[in-house]
Order: sequence, then structure tokens, then C-alpha cells
Amino acid sequence: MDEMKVKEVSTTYEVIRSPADGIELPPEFAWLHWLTPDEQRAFFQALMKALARAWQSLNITLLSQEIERWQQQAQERRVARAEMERQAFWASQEKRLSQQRALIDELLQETVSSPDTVPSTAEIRELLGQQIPYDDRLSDEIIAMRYEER
Amino acid sequence: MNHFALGASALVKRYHNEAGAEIVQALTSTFLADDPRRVVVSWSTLAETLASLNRKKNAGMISQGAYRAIRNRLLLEVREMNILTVTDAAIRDSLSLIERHNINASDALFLRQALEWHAQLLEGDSVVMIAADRRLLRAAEVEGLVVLDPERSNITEVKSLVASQE
Repeated sequence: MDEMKVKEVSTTYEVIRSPADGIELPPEFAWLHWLTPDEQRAFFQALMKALARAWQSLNITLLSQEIERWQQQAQERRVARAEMERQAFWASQEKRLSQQRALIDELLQETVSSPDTVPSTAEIRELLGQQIPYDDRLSDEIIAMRYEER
Repeated sequence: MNHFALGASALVKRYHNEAGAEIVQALTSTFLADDPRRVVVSWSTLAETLASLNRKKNAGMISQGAYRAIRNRLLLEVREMNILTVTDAAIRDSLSLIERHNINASDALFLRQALEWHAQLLEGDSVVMIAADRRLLRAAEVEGLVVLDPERSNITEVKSLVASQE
């Protein structure tokens, strides 16, 4: 009898599904697509355990708590992945950006001994405001330059 | 997350108080302090801005000293922005924009660069074209970019575009 019991407990069962066999997600579970396939597998494993506990205890709260925990994790992983992607994206741009900065630096070296000596943006606005009236738009000047040859 | 492509007709409003200046100043000040790479310009933006100031200098409206000061401040700030690279392919691809929208060569090139940058961005990120030149804005809108005319918008619209970053 004891032998039989041990055997029963040690037996595990698996549901084998083809990776191509997708499950249609109801809107409430759309967040599942933020998880990787491995994470989704872990979710369904945890869901089945929680479902069994809820079934045994007739307490659906256990199931809700497990699902909410995974939903929170999915959101956190989504944010973390997005941040990693963003960092990788800017890292891929850094060479180009530093080349552009170097080109500007060459221009600045001709006239600027130290950035601290350059008037601030607020000072520039005041300076330009004294010399060019508000209604004399520099933006109009630029647009006129573009099309004045017509 | 939005990236803001500043045409010269918008960038110049950062330095001169004129119609729409408060919009450009609020936007650029926010990003120059926090994330200047999201302010997108091109070398042609810089060239046109300097050209307009140079004309004012030549017309005797601004002094040589003032011009030099503005030029240097402009360079220091643009240095921190995302200056898009011009490639032969971008110039080639700008030709169809000239024909399609009847815009001039520099606008077409900047629009092409902005569109290319938009295509490179991560999913969910977009380029907002900011300019006071309505011809450029119309073309950008037809090509699928969100556009903002600082002379015809308010600070609430800008805050909304900035807030859509998360």
C-alpha cells in the first residue's frame, strides 16, 4: 500500500503542446505577450498549481493573487526590457553623435576659449531683443530665404 | 516617446523672442536639461539659422559682437542635440519629396532625414516635426509625421507631446 502511494506521488504528468499551437488570449490576459516563451511556460505552470489550490480550497482568491502577481511581473519585465532596448539603441548612435560633437568642437575652438565665456541663452534673447523687434520674425527671414528665388 | 525635429524656422525662436518663441523655448529647455538627444536637427538647420542671423548682421541690425555671441551659444547647444547625418541616399531620396510637395531642397532633405530617423526609432517612438514653415509642416504631415507649428499651438499641446514619452 505504501509502495503504491509513493509511486502515485512521484508520477508527474505533462501536457505536451506544439510551440506553433498558440492560445488565443482574452483581453484581460493580453499582458501575457510581454513575457518570453519561457516565462509564459512558467506562468502556465504556476497557474495550474494555483488553480489546483483554489480548486481544493474552493477559494478563488488564491488564483486571483497568483494572476495579479504575474501581471505585475510582466509589467516590470516589459519596462526593464524597454529600458534595455533604449540603452542599446542610444549606444548604437553614440559613435555618430560623438563625431558630430567633434565637428562642432572644431568650429567652437576657432572662437571660444571657454564655454563659460559665452553669454547664456537668456542673455542672448535679451541682446537680440534689443536689436531686433518682436514683430521682426527671424523665422520669416528663414522662410523668405528659402523661397525668395522663386 | 517623442523626438522633436526642429526646423530652422523653429530653432531660431529659441534665441529670439517672437511669435511662438515661448513654445520652442519651453520645449528645448526641457530637453536640453534632461535628454538633449531627443532634440533632432541637421547641419542644414544650423546653416539656415546662422544664415538668417548673418543677414541681420549684414543689414546692420545686429552687431558683430552680438552675432558672434549668438553663434557660439547656438553651437554649444546644438552640440548636445541629435545632429542627423546626411548621406548620399538621403539626398537622393529627398528628390521625390521635392516633386511630391513642392518644397525646396533643404526642407526636402531635412524631412527625409526626419523620416529616416523616425523609421529607425524603437517601436512606439515618433518624430514630431516643429517648424513655422507651413509648407514643410504640410509635407511632413502627409508623410506621416506629427507636426507642431509653434506660432499656432499652445503650451498644453506641447506638454501633451512631451508627456507621451512614457
